[in-house]
Amino acid sequence: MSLGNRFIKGIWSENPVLRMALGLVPALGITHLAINGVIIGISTTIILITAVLVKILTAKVTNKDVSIYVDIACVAVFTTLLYRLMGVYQPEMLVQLGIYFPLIAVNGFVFQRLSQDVTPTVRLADALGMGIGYTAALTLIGIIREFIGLGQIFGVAVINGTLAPFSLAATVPGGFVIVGLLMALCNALSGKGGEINE
Amino acid sequence: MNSGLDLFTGGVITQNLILFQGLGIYALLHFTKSIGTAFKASIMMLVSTLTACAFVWIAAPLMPISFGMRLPVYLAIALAAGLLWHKLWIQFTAADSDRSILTAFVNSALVGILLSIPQELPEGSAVVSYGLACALGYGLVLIVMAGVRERLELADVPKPFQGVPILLISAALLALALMGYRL
Repeated sequence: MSLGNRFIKGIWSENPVLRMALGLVPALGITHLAINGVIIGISTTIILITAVLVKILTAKVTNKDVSIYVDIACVAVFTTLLYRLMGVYQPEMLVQLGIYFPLIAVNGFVFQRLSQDVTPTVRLADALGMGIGYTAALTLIGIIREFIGLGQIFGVAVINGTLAPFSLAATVPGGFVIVGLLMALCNALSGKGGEINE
Repeated sequence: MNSGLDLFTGGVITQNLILFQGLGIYALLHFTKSIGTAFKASIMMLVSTLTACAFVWIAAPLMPISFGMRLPVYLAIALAAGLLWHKLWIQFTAADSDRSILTAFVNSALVGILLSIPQELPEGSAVVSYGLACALGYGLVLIVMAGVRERLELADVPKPFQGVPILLISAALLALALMGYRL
């Protein structure tokens, strides 16, 4: 598979959220505002790419048995560093994201991509494509939830009193329904069932 | 007494980790294929959580005040507790060192419990009680959803909804039912 195909795959056919059901915690917990989806998506992509770079650089000195522990430590360290940076430059956003930002450290999507056994260039293209796909999916879910739940998109009111917002969409149970429906739509468009990828 | 009971019922039902905080979704999708698997995952989560909360209890006097400083400590405690029990599990059950087992011990729900320990909570055993309540709520949802999933296997679900979508929508219905206790 070419690098381009590997890159595109992460955006649609193997989208982490909508096709592979990975990294769903922020998708359900925090995307009641679209901006949260964008920030968590970009942060996760940055952490994934830096962890991939470290994995590539340390590939020759770590064996398979300890690689998972190196991955866990690496992701935890980068999450903490990014958390501290966000605390300095975007403290309000960090408060808004609550516990969901630190939870990037245990995001199943990141570990699943790090566990791929591929060449360094493919690993990087895969991480970039998956990161963009993840960010796009979280943003899409955020836009839909914010529109239905609060009548606004990225904080801009689009329903001015003509229709009452359906606040359930902004809650976690509403997130379950919207993510489930979006996954079913993706399955219908791609002609596949909704099997859970191991 | 009432606040302790509120904290406990909050952890189990009204602030349930999976249904109302969206944590531990990986477990919801992967460890609810049968009631037995869900029960095992619940036990793993319970022991990891109690161990992590006990660490927090012991380390409470040394814990930094600001959340930003506590974050690496909480991450280290959650990962240490999870990895410890993962190693013991492999040793005693002679199971393969499988990533999926590791994810049962080290997951977003465990870290989420530590990160969401209420600041006003008195130090000490209350932290362990809070962890116990959250882990019980987590296990309860896994076991109930495993039962729901076994019934769904027999239902005629449209193809696009098969698998994860119908499971998420079923979880939403369970959450809506439990939402009644929050009013």
